[in-house]
Parts: sequence; structure tokens; C-alpha cells
Amino acid sequence: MSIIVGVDIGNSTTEAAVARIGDDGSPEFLSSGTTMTTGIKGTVENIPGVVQVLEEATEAAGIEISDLDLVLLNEATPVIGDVAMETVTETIVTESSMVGHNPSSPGGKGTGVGRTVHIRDLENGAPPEGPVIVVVPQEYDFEVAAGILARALEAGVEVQAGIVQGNDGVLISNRLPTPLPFVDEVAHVEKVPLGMLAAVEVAPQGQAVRQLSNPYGIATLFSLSPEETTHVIPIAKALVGLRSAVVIRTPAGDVQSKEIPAGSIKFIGENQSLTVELEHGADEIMNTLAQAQPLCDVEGESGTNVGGMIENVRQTMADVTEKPLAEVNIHDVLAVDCLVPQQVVGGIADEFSIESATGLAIMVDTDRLLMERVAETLSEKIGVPVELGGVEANTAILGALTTPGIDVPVAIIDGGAGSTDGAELQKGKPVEHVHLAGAGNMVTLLIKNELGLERFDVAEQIKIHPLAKVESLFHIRHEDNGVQFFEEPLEANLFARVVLVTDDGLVPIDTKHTLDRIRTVRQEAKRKVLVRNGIRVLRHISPSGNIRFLNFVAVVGRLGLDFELPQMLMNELSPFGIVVGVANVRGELGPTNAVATGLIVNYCRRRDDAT
Amino acid sequence: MTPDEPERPAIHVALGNEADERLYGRVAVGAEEEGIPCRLVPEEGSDAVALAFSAAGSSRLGVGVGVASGRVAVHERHMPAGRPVVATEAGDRAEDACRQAGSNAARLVIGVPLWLLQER
Repeated sequence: MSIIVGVDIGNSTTEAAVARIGDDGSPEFLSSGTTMTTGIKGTVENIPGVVQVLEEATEAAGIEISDLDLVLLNEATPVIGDVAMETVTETIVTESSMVGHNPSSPGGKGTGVGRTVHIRDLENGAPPEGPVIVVVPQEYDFEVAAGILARALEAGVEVQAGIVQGNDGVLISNRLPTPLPFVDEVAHVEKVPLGMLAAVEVAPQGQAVRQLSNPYGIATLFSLSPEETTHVIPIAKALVGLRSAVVIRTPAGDVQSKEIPAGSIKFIGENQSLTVELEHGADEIMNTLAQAQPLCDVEGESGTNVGGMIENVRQTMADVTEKPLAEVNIHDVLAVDCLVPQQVVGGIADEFSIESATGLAIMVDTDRLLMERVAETLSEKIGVPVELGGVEANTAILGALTTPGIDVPVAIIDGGAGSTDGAELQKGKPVEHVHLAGAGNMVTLLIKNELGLERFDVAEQIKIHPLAKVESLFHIRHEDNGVQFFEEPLEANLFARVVLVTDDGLVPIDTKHTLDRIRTVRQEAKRKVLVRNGIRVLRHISPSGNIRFLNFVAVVGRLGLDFELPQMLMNELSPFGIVVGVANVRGELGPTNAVATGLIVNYCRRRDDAT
Repeated sequence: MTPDEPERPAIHVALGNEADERLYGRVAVGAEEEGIPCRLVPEEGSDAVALAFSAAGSSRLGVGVGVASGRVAVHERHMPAGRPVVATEAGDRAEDACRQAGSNAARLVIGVPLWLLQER
């Protein structure tokens, strides 16, 4: 009789399963443990995490680490993934010529065109000739500003509209003899050039600007030539969907939508090498990759964004594995298109424009030597023999097979933080397995960038929790439209906010995005990375590459814990006639601990084979 | 307006015995920026929270603001009486605090997140 532990070091969590092996060679599972992985998977930095999970699991089993007879580590051929994202386009305003934003309450409505004039010039000196747009800095109280404007209008100055720094647009507009459009909350009002022709548009409530988001509308207001009209397209594009906007015509003013040289990717296959431009988009990149299979390595064009991204990953991996740079080969790439809000360079009201970007997940195969080094170091540290207990994908399948109601032939999708892995087991055949780039971390990166969030952990929280909108001080509406009422009033800081529904209560998200927008971004990110990779995995491992030849698919790993992904996968795969379900390892652990459990099952099998 | 015609919906504002009448104007400006009407109602007292609660009780929008003894409170009819939605020490910036309270009261009505930066 002996007590052994299976330990699975993953990209983000380290899991353990403790079992007593009976005299008949069958395992009796005693306990399990989970902790965060320390360091990059496959390095000696993992050891503190492994020791912690061993302490946790042995304590739960009522034993000491020194009571253990053997520790089995996953032979990961650790696939290490990295993610990166670069924008393909950028909007630059040279000379300030545009203000476009969504203040909560602009004043008045309609469109006004005239020359920009500072409000102090309406008080003093000769009244300006012709139609004017008045610029009101914060130091002018709304009552003072309205008084000056009313007197100027009476004196015959043709005030058409205004640009206001404070949140006073409505108040000024309401105090004039007839309301005029005012764009307010323009932070850098001092950057508005004076004496220039400008147009201000405030849309009616519930609508977006029409004239200034239409190139011909701008051309009409400013009497532009056809040639000049082609230059205002980026302006019109940037103003689409906003409630209020200002366009200022400066002599040299120009908004450029600049293409950044994104570079090209070269896929070096065993049979042929193919090159694809990053700007052609994710679909083209993935198609090219499929043609170049089986893949030996990937190179990015040097001196470009993508070249930098790929070489960065290679360098990180070379540092980690202590292998020469030239021997670090990239074995898979996942490209995803996304739209990211980027602050407009040179904007006046902190404007954002939506730019296209490409995200890449890159995966590098390392070698078995690394895990052997981890095993040796661990053994020295805890004084217990440590062995590599089988290839990760195979052990994951063995672990998944402890799920009630499952049998071979079976395929698994194992999604973690760094890579999506797959394996397929048929009776009497060796296990087919594959590791693909892109998993949970890629989803988080997409959510972070598409919502323009500053922090990675906020995006991570959005990824794993459902949303709700606080509709009153006493009730919330969940994202499925269900309403939940509370006996105790909710905190004032939650009022009218989009919140995450977590085990610890409601957590407000600090963003102006609507619930629908956040939900769409979250689900699209999962679809673009996880569902797509699930299908790619199944294509790789299914006989002859046809998904229809698979029958049963079990989801293991953190992917299976996601609150919506298993259903998304099922919807996607049901047309192929496949049963997809979340594994329930040992009938109690859900989709986690499959590899750790499988290591022990594998150990028992090998002993059986040996005897 | 005849007596049986219901009052127009508005945020109700109650000033404490010694509070400056001009502060009502600042509350009104805050609500106006958000597009919600408000009305001064006669209430007696020196506790901003209690004033706000009874103002909220008489408001058809169920939202009230109370200003008294250097404090400004925003209340909602369904809240427990002693638990205002927002209560701030006005300090020497009473005018700004009142404008913000007016804005917050209006935001409670229209369902927009509140300003809570100057919270105690």
C-alpha cells in the first residue's frame, strides 16, 4: 500500500489529487487541492505553488508531506502561450479641428455655424461681425455667461451656438431668450482656436448628430470643394453615434486616419512557407496558417509591430527555457480581429475613436528536460521521490473518464489560461493530442482592449461573472432580464450602474459602457477565442479532420467552469451531431483536477501492465 | 390649479429654519441641468436628513432634498428614514454641495449614477 499525489501545474492554477493505492493496485482518492501557479509553467519558480498545494491536499487527507511515497508531475511538454495586440489604424488630429463627445447633458439642440469667439470679446470692444460660436471657459459662471450672451444677442451679435468647458450647457441655453445648441464638458476648451469657422451640432435627446457625421453635411456647412470633402471623412467617421459635436475649420487643420505598418507573418511549414499581411485580418491569417500545416515555426517581419510581438514572445521563452533563441519554435498562432477605442491624438475633449486591431496568441513548445528539472528540484526540496507521470493530454483524458456516464471513444477539450488542448481516445489506439494557442488570457485581453479598460483584473472579473443593471435602490435587472428585489436598500454607489453579480455581492464596473455592450464584447471574445479554438482542437484530433466522426466530447479545465461557455460550445457543435458536456471528475470535482486525477489512474495502469 | 388636481411631479426641497433661501436656488440649478423640475416645500426642522425624508414623502417623484445645520441630504421615499441616499457636510462650499445634491436628486429620478466624490 502506498500514498501518492498527482500534481498538475497549469498556466494559472496548480492542482493536486491524493490517493491511497490498495494492494490490488486500485486507487482510493483521499483529497484534492488547488492553488495559483507561481511563475511561468514549466520553470522551477513553480515549486512554491506545488509545495503549497501539497500542504493543502495532504492536510485535507490528514497526513503530512513526508508520509507521501511518490509525487507525480504532469509531463507537460509545457506549452507556453503569450498574447499581444497591436492597432492597425490610428487617428491623428493635426491642429485641433474636431471635438466630438457625449457629455451627459448638452444644452439646446440644432446646428450653428460661425466664427469662434471668446466670451470676453463679447463683453468688451466692438461686437464681432457675422455669425459667431462663443467659447465659454469654466471661470464664467452660467448666470454670468448667460447674461453676457443675452446682452450680446440684444445688441445684434449673431450668436449661433457655444462650446462650454463646465457642465453648464443646459443652464446657459435655458437662460437665453431662445435656446441655442451648447456642447459642454469640453475639457481643453483653451485649445479651441479663435477666429476660425466652426460648426456646433447638438442632437435631440435620444438621437445622434447627423450633419457633422456626414461628409456632405460638413461640406455643406463649410462650402468645401470635392477634394476638401475627401479630407473630412475621418472626422465624420469619428463623430458617428455621438450626441454632440464641434468641427472647427483651421487653415492647416486636418484629421488623418493613419495606417500603421503592421507587418507580415511568415508561416514556415514542413512542406511550404506562406506569408500573410497582418492587416488582411484574422480570417486570412488563420486560413494561411491552415494551408501551411504542419507548422515548424513562425516569423514576423522585422521592424514592424508584428515582428516585435513575435520576437518578444520568443525572447521570453528563450529566457525561461534557457534555450538559444534559434531553437525556440512557435507551434501555433491564433489571430483575432477586434475594435479598440483609442484616444485621438491631439483631441480637445478626450475623444476616442474606434480603431481596428489584431490580437495574437502565440504558443511555443518546450521540452521534457524542463519538467525533469522541476521534478528533481522538487524532490530535493520535499524529500519525496518525484516522477513525470504521463503526457498532460493523455492523463487529462484518463481523469475525464472518471466522470459518471462517460466511456471511450471520447474526445476532450481542455481549456486553461494559456492554451486550449485536446485529446481523443479510441479503443485500442494511442491517444491523439494537440495544443493550440489562445485560451482564457486571450479572452481577458480582448475584453480589456475592446472596452478600453485600464486594468487586466477588471476584464478578468467581467469574463467570469454575469452582469446586472441596478435599476432602483431596491432592485436589479439581471442580463437575462430577470428582476431581483432586495429587502435592504442597495448602496448609493451602485445606483444605476452596471454591476457584476459575484459570490461576494454586487460589484460596480467603472465604465460608461452599457450592459448590452459589455455583454456583447464578453460573449464575442469567448466566441472568437474559445469556441473557435474548441472547433480547431476537434478538427486536429478527429480522424481525417472531420468533426462529424466524433461522438462524445467532454470539457475539462477552467473552461468548463465558465458560466456560459459550455452552452455556447454546445450550440456551436450540435449541428455536427456531437454530444458536448462538462466533465465531472471523480463524480464530484466538476471539470477541474482531471490531469491530477489522471496521473494517478495512469500510474495504476502502468503498474497493472508491468505485473 | 384647482385643489383636486394633483400636483405636478417635482423633486421637493426643504430648508431648515436658519438655512439661506439662496441655497434652494443652487439645488434647483443642479436639478435643472439634468432636466428635472423641483419645488421648495415648507418644512420645519434642523436635521437635514429628516427634512429630506419628509420632502421625499410629499414629492410625487418620491425624491427630496433637505438643507439644514451645514448638512445637505438627498432622500428617497422608500428608504429607511434614518438612511439618506447621500448626505454631505456642506462645509464652506454650501453652494456647490447644494448644486450637487440637486443633481443627485435628479439622477435618482432619471436613473443615472450619482456623484459621490464629496461624500464624507
